[in-house]
Amino acid sequence: MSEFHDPDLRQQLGRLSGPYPDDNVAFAAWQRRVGYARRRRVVAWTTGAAMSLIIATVAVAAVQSPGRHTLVPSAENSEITDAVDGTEADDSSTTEITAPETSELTTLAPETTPSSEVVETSMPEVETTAPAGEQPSNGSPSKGGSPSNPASTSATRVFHSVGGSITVRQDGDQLTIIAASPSAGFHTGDISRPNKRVDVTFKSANHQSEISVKLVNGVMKESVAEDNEGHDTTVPDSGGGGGDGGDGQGGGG
Amino acid sequence: MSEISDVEVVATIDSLFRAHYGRLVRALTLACGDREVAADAVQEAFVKAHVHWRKIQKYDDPVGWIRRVAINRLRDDHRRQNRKGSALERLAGEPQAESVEQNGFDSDLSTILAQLPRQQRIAMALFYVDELSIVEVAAALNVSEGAVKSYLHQGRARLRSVVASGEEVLSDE
Repeated sequence: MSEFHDPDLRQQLGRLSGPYPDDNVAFAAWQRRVGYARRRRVVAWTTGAAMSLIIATVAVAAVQSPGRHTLVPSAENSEITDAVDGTEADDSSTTEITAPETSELTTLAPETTPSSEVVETSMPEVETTAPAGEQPSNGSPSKGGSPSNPASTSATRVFHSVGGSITVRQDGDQLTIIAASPSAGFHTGDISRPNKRVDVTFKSANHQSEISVKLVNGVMKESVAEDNEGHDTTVPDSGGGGGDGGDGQGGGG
Repeated sequence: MSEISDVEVVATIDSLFRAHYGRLVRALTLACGDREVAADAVQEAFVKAHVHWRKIQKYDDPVGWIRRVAINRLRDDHRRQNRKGSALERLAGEPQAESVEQNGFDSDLSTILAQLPRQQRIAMALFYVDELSIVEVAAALNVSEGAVKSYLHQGRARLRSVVASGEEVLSDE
């Protein structure tokens, strides 16, 4: 028996502490509080997750900001770089690569790589650009068109043919082939650069397309010749309606 | 070992609740003098037990954990009330006694109980109302058994005179 055993005091204190509460009512109240606590936890968890997602999104956006990027040519676009008359371009939006001084073009990709032939230029100044919005649409011959600003001395246009498309830039009276993209099953054939003119041929087993671009009164005019198993179809100069139009970079140069 | 489901948790806490809730509420009512505050503290302790049940189920005495949480909650409330009371005292210019609700004999007993130190009052309540052992009271208050015995000895000595007089009054009637 404990020295503190005191039934009288226990009885009096028990009476002072009141009756026993109703367990059922108390347990129902407890369940309501548990439900409320659970909802609070869900809200807190959801809020935390949403905040984490926002922070992660902002962080990714900050990492991928354009200011941290360098312009790299796309691997999917077969690039051909050329400079008519061996001139040096001063477009700051291009990545310039210094190549050995030769004057001949080299075709590197065979027919097995229909859409990614890469032809490296051997010109002193080589330009490689992948202008957005100027992806060639294969299989559709050029319909001709005028540059966005005929009075300008600098413009870039894309010319299409069945065999592929080329991107040509005009700087004053000089034409530069920015890129040549053969269609599926085609490869880049002959590339010639006579004075103030460029000719590019795309070849396949049974078709040949030739795109010629020349300067007429300071404006690029193209001529597309389609040769399908002996049936020659030539699209004459469109009089300023070919290609996808210029990129609106007029005024430069 | 598989995770226990929420239904099992609720069922387990239900059994603990029905076994200990009433006793703990009565003990803490005696300790704090306010049944609503005591019931709220015990309810909150059982809610926390539900939240942390997967952890506290491994304890040797989960009910002891619940009891300590309830007592701590009561202490927090008491501190808040003290700060509030101090502010009111400063405004009114006189000290306020702890809540005493009973009249007559109960009033005398409550008055003396309210004058006991809070730790001593809680020890008395847990021992005489919740019917815990000295070891359990020591664990609940996080003090030594000797300290609990000291609390009980002093508290019983002060309350015993009132209880004796109350017995005389009741026998006269």
